[in-house]
Amino acid sequence: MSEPDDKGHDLDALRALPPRDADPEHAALVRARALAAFDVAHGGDMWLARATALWSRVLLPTVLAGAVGVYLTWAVRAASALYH
Amino acid sequence: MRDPAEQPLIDGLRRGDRAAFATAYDRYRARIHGFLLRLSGRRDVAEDLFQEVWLKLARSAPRLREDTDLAAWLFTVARNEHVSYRRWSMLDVSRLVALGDEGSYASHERAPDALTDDARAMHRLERALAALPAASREVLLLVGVEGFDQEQAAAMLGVRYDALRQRLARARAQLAVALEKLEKTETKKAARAAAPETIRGAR
Repeated sequence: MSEPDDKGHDLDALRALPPRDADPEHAALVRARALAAFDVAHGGDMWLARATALWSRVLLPTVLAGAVGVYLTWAVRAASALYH
Repeated sequence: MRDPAEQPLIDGLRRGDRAAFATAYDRYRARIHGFLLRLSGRRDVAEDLFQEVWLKLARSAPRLREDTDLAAWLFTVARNEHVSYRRWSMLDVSRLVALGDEGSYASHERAPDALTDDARAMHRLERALAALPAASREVLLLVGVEGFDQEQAAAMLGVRYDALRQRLARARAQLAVALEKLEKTETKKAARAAAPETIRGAR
């Protein structure tokens, strides 16, 4: 294997390689998406996140638990009425 | 090393200042894209990973440390995204085929004959770089192309300083060999192209 040159000319040559920018359309798309994500991360859509959390963590479980409770009460009462 | 002039940019990112994000994007966009393109060797992969890097910055901005070195942060994320991509590619047969195609972007560009001497040398360097193993390529990209110092590069790659130095020396040697091979190939091609003209001239 041949040795790289000790003065680092190979690294200098690498340093001189031009930057390779993204295609302008893609760059604009990424910028828009990233800015939207940036806004969300800083609470731009906080009301939506809070509403979703409220629905999925509080309201939906409460409604389901209530429905199950009502059904069980009705079932016990119906069974009891039949027995008597 | 961290640029102290970037402190307002970091503060802006932490605060949610859109202008700060746009400035960071404009400042590092080309470098990050170029790094990913040279690292992955594929434009489509580079574009996907490029998007992931910026989405990650957008989502992590509120939690950035005050003393964050933004360039190092971005290149570390970009490198880690590429590592994850390669890891998943190993498990996905269709992507595995694509991995074998790494570096193809460099060979699809303009033919060296149409370039000046400097441009031809750069083209050769790009091709030699693309021909190296990923581990060698990433260290040359960080230290050579991007100009990070070796301690920073070691931290970014998650290796000890000594290991980084060894890896860099090996990568430079591999690059020299790859360049030598390409030069020989080009010389042979040029000789073959010139031969018919010599014969015609002799007639």
